[in-house]
Amino acid sequence: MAKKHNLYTKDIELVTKIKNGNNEAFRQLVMRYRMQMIKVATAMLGNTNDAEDVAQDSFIRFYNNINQYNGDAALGTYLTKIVMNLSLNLLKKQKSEKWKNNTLKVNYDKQNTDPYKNIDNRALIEKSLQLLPGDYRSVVVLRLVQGYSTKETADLLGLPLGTVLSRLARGQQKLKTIINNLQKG
Amino acid sequence: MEKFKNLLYQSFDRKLTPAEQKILDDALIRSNELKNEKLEIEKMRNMLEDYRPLISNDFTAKVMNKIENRKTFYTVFKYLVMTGVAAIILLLVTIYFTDGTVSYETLSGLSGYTPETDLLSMFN
Repeated sequence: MAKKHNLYTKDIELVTKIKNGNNEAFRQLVMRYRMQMIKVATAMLGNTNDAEDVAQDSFIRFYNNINQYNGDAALGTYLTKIVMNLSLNLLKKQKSEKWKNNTLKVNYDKQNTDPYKNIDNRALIEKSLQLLPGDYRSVVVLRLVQGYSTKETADLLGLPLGTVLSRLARGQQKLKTIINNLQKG
Repeated sequence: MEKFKNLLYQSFDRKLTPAEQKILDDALIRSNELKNEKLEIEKMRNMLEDYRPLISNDFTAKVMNKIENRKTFYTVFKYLVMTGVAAIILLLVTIYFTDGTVSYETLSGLSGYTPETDLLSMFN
C-alpha cells in the first residue's frame, strides 16, 4: 500500500514538472510506463509497427492533454485507458481479419508438447491473442496480461462486472483451445 | 462437465459462493479431466502474466523526438503568424500615412481611380 502511494506521489511530481515544461520529467515517465503501454498495445494488436505506434501516440496524446489529468486515477490506469482506446479504435478501423490469414511465423517450438512450459514464448502468446475475438481479447489483456482486478477491468472498459466475468471465463476457454490448436500446428 | 468447467473458470476471477465451491471441490475430487483442466488454466494464466513484449531500443527517443518535432512545428508556426501579422500592421500604417485613410480603395490601390479618367487617358 505504502509502495503504491509512493509511486502515486512520484507520478504526481513528474506530472507537475511536465506541466511546467520539464521534458526530462516526461522522458522519465515514458521510461517508467513504456513496458506497460507496449504490453497492452502488442497484446491487442500483435507484434506490429502499429502496436509501437499506438503506444507512442498514447504517450503523445497524454502529453498534449496533460492538463486534463488531475490525479483522480492512478497514472498507469489513466495511460492504460488511453492505449486501450487507441488500440480498439485501430482495430475497428482495420476491421479486416488480416491476422487470421497472415503468414506470421510463430517461432515457438512445435515439438514441445506442453506449450505452457515455454513461458518466454512471446510469439505464441501474441499470435493466440490475435486469434481471440476482440471482445474477449480486451478483457483477457487487461485482467490476465496486465493484472488489473476484475473491477478495474470493468471500469477501464466501461462494462458491467458481470459481463467482464463471463467474457473472462469464455475468453480463457477459447484462448486455451487456440493455444492447443496452434501447438498442434 | 460443462457446468463444472464454467465454475472452474469463474473460480479464478471471483469468489464462489460456499455452495458453488462445494460443487466444484467435489467435482475436482471425482474428475481427473477437470483436475487437468485446472492445471492447464493455471499454466496459461502464468504464461500470460509473465508475457513481456519486445521493446525497440529507441522507443523513448522516438516519443521524445515526436514531442520535440511538435514543439518545433508550433514555434515555427507561431513565428510565421507573428511575422505575417506584423507585416499586415506595417502595411496598414504605411497606407494610412501615405493616403491619410485606410479604406477598401486605398488597400486595393484604386484610390482616386475613376472610369472616366481611364477613358480620357485613352484619347490623350
